[in-house]
Amino acid sequence: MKLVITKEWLKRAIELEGDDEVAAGALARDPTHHSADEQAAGETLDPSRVAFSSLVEYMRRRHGLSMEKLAEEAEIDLTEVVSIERDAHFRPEPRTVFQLARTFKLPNKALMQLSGNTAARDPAVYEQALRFAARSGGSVQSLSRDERRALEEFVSFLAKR
Amino acid sequence: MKKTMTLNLTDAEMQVLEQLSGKKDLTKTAVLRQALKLYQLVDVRLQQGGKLFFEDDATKEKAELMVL
Amino acid sequence: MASHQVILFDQLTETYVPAELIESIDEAHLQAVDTTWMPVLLRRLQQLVDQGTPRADWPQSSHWDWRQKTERIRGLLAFRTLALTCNGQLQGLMQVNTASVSRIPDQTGKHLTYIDYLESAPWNRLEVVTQPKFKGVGSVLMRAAIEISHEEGFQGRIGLHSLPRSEPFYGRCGMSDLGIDGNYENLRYFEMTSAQAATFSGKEPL
Repeated sequence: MKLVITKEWLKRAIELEGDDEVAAGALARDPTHHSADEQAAGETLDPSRVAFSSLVEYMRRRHGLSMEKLAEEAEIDLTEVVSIERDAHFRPEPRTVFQLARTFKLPNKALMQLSGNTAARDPAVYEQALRFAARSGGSVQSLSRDERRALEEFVSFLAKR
Repeated sequence: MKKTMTLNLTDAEMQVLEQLSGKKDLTKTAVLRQALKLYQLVDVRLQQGGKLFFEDDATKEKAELMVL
Repeated sequence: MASHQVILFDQLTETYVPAELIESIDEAHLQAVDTTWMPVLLRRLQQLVDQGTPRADWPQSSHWDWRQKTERIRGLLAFRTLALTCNGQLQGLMQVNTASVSRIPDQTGKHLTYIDYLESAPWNRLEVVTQPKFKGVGSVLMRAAIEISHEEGFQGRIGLHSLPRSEPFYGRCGMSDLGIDGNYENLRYFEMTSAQAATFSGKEPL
């Protein structure tokens, strides 16, 4: 391959680029999936979602993973991980939930319910989520001993489901 | 980087090579290189457990291509 | 691996700097994606979530698993990968398919080099940082795709599916817009004819 890039050529090319991105290729994400934007920011938070958000962060840290590592291991999009953990209004794609359930060895059905992907079928899951959401509050990093215990109970409950 | 090989082809094979070359606007060498790429792609895909079909655009009928 | 001396434009120092185009993505490059690209991207994503920015406005291609991509095509003749580095830092990645064909009506069946994926480092992108560092990464990689096309005997013809925010650029490059592709995530499909490629490469006056 012969490739000669001159300053003159690059100067012209940069003018063409302007401020636009230069990228190409499929995103391999469902482009029709609408999630957080469906729900107004002011709406009351569904405790299930709060529980889901904290749960994912907790399980991630328990596995000793950074967000990037989790995205890689679970083969899910990094944007999904970030949104799940930081935006309790966010509803992840069903595939993402499935992958997380697999990675964390938790029951898929329960996680689908918590994440808002399926209607509440298991009232016990909802009830536990409520209890858990009430007790967990801020970031998983600064959990009090009580809060940590609440999390662990919640996880054991789910694992038995 | 490039290796050289001498190729013995029958008259019929040479004719096909020339036809493809003209039709695809490629040199004969380029045609053979493309053929090699495609052969490898098909082989890998079949090994992964796929099947190679032609699908009739109109009838949507599928005809399997038994190649490898 | 074969490498070529090229140049990029450093917007922060306003100088042209030498860069290297390497004809294969290797382990070091993949690790550079993990250790240098992802953290910058992650910071930006966290920022966007905190700001409540709608997802439609998020940077596109925030997670392309290059490791997975290169694994999938390992050893296959039909695919080539390229990495662009500057001062040892990874600036861009590209994967091309040299067994693809044109869709332009009067030249269907003619081969072209199809760009599977093309991505610039997050610090070069206005979507991610307020002051992008290098300009020209995408253009240089496109030139490389054109040269590969010539090498294969395809006379410079290339094709690609554009991410929405890149569409204006490909239009300005003089590429043919073949419309939204319903079979490919509704991305817009562009091609460069041999003549357009020659113009883009500066081999013919505009």
